[in-house]
Amino acid sequence: MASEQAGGHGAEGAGAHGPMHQFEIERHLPLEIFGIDASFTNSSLFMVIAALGVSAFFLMSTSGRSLVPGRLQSLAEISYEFVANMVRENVGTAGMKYFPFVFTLFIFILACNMLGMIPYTFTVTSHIIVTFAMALVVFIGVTIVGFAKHGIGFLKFFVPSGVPAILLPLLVVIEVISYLTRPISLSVRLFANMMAGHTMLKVFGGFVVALGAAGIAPLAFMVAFTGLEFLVAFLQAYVFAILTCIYLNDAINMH
Amino acid sequence: MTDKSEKSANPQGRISAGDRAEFKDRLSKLDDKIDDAQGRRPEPEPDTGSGKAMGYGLRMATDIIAAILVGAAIGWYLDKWLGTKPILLLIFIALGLAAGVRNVIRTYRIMAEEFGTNTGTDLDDLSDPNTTNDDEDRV
Repeated sequence: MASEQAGGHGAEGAGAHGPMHQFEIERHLPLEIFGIDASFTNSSLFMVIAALGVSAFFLMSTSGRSLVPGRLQSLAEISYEFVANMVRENVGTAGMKYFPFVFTLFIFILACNMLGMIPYTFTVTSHIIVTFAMALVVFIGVTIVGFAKHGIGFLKFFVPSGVPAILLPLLVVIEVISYLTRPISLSVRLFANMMAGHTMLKVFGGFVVALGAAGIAPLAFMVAFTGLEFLVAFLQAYVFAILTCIYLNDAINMH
Repeated sequence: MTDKSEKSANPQGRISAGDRAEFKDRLSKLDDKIDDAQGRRPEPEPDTGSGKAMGYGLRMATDIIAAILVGAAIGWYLDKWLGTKPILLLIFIALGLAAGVRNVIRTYRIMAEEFGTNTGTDLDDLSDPNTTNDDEDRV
């Protein structure tokens, strides 16, 4: 997943150290393949860090495999059970086939969000191209699963039952729009929340400096807001994963 | 002792009828045991914490906006393609809004089912005659 966002364009920031400066893309290793800008950017760097960090964590925590888990192992087990329950609850046991995908998605987004909470890091998920690429993978994948499972009968998904014939064309159009909305809302939700939160933190951080002694008030707010941001970072990964499950359920069980 | 004789007659490891019956018996017992164990797996308890409620809130807010945007985009491109400048854009913005509301009602139903507090019964009445009744009921 790291390579699909290698070619981000430099975001225009508001001045050298404005609140939007943190979202700027910097090219670390300029690279061009067939006219496509595939440079290794700070965004790519933090995706690689997230992927490597997650891999290292799970390799380390599962290497012991003791019956009574230690701290690391129970953390790994909790995350496994959390996602496994999510898939079982929303898709049923038939959906456990897709557990690895949902788990990877959840952990990667969570790692990127949490990594972004560390000062001076880059928040990968605050760029819509990254979140949109992931949402598109989910959207196309789920559509393929739906057609593979039900064949052309999957189109019945867009035809609500028990509707008068006159209203049917209208409702089919609405259902199709509602279906096409999925990748947009999935990606915009994650990106907007991450970007808004980080911008807010920077803006209020500026207030603390500008107000001098009175800056204690925005500082207190910042402390509380940072806590909220951690919650949002987790929640957004959770919402992304659970919506993937719900879409999978729609495709597999045709509800 | 036909078993014995058959066994010795077939050193290739062919299984006698008696063995097979016993085997089937054990297999079905194991099946029962597995079914039993799976039945005993506790149903995942719905987490009705505020975090989950906030997740639902975030979903609903973006669902409406995204649906309107998608409707507008479809209308705009159709207009450009068919040369019917503002008409289809307006129609599809309205359809997008309808799709957004449909999404929210759908999310609401799942939420009400999960939290077990079906407070807004009028919403269910409103959507019952037109749309499908049980396309949201997931088990």
